Amino acid sequence: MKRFSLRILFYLAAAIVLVALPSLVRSNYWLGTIDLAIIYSIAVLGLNIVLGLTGQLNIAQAAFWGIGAYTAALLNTRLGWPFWATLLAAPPMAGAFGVMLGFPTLRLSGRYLALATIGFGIIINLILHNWKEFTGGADGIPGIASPVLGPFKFSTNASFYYLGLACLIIAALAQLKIKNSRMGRAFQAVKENELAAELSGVNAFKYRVIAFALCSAYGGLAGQLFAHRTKFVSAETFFIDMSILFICMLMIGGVGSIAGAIVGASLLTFIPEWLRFLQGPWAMAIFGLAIIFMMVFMPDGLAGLTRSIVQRIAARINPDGQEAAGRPSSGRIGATGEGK
Amino acid sequence: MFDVTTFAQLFVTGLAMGSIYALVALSFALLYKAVGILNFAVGEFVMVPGFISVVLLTTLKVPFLWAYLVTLGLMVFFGAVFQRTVYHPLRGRPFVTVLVSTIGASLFLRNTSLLTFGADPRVSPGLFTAKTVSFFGVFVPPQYLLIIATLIVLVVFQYLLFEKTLLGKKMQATAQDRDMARLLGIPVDTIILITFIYASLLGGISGILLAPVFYVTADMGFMIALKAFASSIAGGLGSIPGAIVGGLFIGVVELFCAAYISATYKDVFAFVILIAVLLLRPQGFFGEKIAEKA
Amino acid sequence: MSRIRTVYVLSTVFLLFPLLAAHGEAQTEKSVRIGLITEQTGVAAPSGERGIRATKLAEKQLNAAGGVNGSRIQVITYDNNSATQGTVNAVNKAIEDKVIALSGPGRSTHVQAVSPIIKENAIPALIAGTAVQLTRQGNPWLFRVRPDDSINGTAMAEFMAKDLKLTRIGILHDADAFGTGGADVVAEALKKYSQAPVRRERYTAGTKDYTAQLLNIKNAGAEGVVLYTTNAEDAAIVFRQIKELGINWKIVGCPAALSQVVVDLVKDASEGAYGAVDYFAEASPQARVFREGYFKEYNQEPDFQSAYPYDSLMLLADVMRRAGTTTDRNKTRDTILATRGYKGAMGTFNFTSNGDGIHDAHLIQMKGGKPRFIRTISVGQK
Repeated sequence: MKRFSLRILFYLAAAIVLVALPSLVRSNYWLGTIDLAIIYSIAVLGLNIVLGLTGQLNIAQAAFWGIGAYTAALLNTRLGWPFWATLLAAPPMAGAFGVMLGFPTLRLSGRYLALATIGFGIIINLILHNWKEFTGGADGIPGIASPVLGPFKFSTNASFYYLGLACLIIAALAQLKIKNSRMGRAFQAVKENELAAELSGVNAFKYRVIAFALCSAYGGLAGQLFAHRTKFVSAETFFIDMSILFICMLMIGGVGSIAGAIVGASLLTFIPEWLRFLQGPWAMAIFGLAIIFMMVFMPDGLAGLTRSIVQRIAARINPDGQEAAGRPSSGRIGATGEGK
Repeated sequence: MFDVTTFAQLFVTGLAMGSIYALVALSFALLYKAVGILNFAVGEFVMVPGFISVVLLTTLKVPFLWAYLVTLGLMVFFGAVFQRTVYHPLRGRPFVTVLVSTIGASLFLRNTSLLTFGADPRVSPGLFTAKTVSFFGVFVPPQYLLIIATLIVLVVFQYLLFEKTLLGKKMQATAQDRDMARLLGIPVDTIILITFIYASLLGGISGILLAPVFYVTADMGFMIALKAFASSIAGGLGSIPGAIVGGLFIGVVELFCAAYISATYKDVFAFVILIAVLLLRPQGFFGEKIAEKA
Repeated sequence: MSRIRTVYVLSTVFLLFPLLAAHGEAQTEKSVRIGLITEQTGVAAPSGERGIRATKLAEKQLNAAGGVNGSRIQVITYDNNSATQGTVNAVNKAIEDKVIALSGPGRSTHVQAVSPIIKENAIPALIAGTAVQLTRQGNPWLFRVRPDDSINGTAMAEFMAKDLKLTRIGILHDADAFGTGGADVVAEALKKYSQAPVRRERYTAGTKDYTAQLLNIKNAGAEGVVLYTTNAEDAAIVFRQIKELGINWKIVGCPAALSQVVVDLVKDASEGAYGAVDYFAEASPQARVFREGYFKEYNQEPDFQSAYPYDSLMLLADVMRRAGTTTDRNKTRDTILATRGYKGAMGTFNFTSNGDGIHDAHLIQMKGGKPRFIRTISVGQK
């Protein structure tokens, strides 16, 4: 059928572009930026579970990102654990902290929870910064090793790209699975109407904590990748301004949408670099204005925008109102136009 | 170390810092109460008038009273513009959207300030020539006394405004139930605009008071905003007296913790208090019992 | 609505931009490009601005004198937003733009973050982070143009113990790498005089009130205090509060504590304070000349945050003149290390094999709002 093969063709094209990207882009600097965008995307995907699926505002994602990074850094530099081992250790560690934060605070309502997460994030940051004996204090932890697989070392931006991309794809697919699973529907129910959910036998609190744990685990994964890529971690990177940026990324990409999370993260990683030619404060000031602008004109983010455009194109192709084959939102990880 | 003089010194300084936190928390809580938003640009509400007053006093050599009046006048304008651009197009949207918008505003303001006023920290001349006043071995800069006094005056003024004037009552009504207020014929949009302007003026007063004692930089708003959040929560989000008490409480307690426990983690204490309050008594000191879900 | 369509089109263009942008900027054949990694935005913008001004001044002076080996010097500024990750992005961009050398980063944690990148790309970087280990981690491409913390800290300790004859010394320092490292060095150096600090207090940058820390030090019976502060506003508040609390200490500050920004802010609150400074206008003819040129151009008094970037560019130019070629990195490196007796605004540069260029600390005292020279302490050279 025409619809079927068009979709396949599209996925194939996307796959080719993604695999060939390093050769297409060539520039080491832009590849480095893309690597960073991938890492941020994973962190923002985590945020999507909590904010998008369960409707809770978490302004501490950078802290979990940091916990993941420091876990990887410490295990690698102090105990010699390789990349693949820290990959398995960092997300659960961050997840555990997520539960630790979630348990006492998730009974609070949205705005209160938001402020509690701010406090948590700051406390974590200060501990990372000041506990010299354990975390290296202000000096940070240098000398983290690059991932190694047999004879092959992932030390360049291009090689790391593939590693990061693989993790991102797995993370996104996992979230897609979660979204469509029973757990995902429970998240949705809690978000839409908690009272009704409870009456239907859904333990709201339990699901909120799970969502929080998943969110922080994603953050931890992003942190682990970050640590092995930049080979140095210091507490000042994992501060509330990054948490705030992650939220902006999600909102601009489109909260609730997996593709949105990735697009938002990528866009907000690239924009400051594109604006570099503007010299300093001009770039950041324009960036600030752009954020306001995007909130005003694109409240559902880019994903929502794309969705409405696709719907209108579809309506025009198929005036009977049937679902027609439209181009998936951003072509990255498949059609996620469904459900906010 | 546990002598009375040290104790008193810490207490007075804590009150002064706490008064600043209280003023900013007040601005923050007001907007939360009136329109339900978390204004992440509240720090810039303090930074902008700080710079304006510095420039007026130092570069343009305007006399004190005029400088302060002009600054406050400009803050009226600032509040109105802020409301129109950052909030008004987004009214009715989920609060996260507005939150992100205020973040964009904060970024914009910080960097335009950098472009306009430059990167060097600025200090403004204070009203007082005497550096400190001393009571029984406790050294107090007169500016601190002014800050505390201003808070007291403002609290009284605000009480009178909200309880005794028609405008104040309309503001309260709009905050409590917007739709009802509209039905009663209250011009809700105008009242909201006025609320923003008032919140902006509170920031203006804070900025003017702060500029002589702490140096004004483009990024100063960030930490101030965080302390304001903590104060609001401690006192009870949405509670006006709560913001004030919360601010003073945080100001004093964090200083005592810094002196007697550990100075490095001074900032941590404010947030530990915040979390403790949220866990043990989420409504803070004064808030009403809050529902579990937003 | 067509408005949404426009926005959508714009966004799509944005997303495609990286592919288009990968072509980089046009290269001017006859210019030598130096990348200045600095803070144009963010909390450290004040110090960054001074560095940019000084570097631009040096660029102007060098080009007016005919450039280097017939080529123009072109300084390209890269903003790091006062952040570690920002520094990584900035350095990557600079390398992409094919600069032949870097001036900066100026902060220890920033240098630490980009050290692997600099090593991998074999690009010479004139750094100003003062954490001692930066030049001892096996990166042959880092060249330090400021005395490291061991030098300033040791000089300060020696001065307090020998010259001021103090026995009860307190330390107040920023909790970051610079402050903590410096405090450690001072504490260690005091051991030589059979002393230990009576009290150590730290604070996080941006703290607005130091009453607690100052009272703690006072109550421990300190007669003098060492200030190891990173940011100007923090140092300024500390000076002011010491005065307000009526405490009568002998104060010895690290270079950042008595920077020009601080002195301008506190005016007489810093009167009588001592400091170890990297740069002092009256310490040498070169320093004086630099100061005059800077003041004439910007109507601003320069301090070390202007001096070392100035020296960085001038030194690079001198190195390239001596090395002859402008593109062979290894030759550049060897020539830098072979530098002996190069007189810059900061002092005399004698590079040791690990890349440290300056080993002097100048002790000064603030008198009448101006620093007055006491003596120079030279610390251990290899």
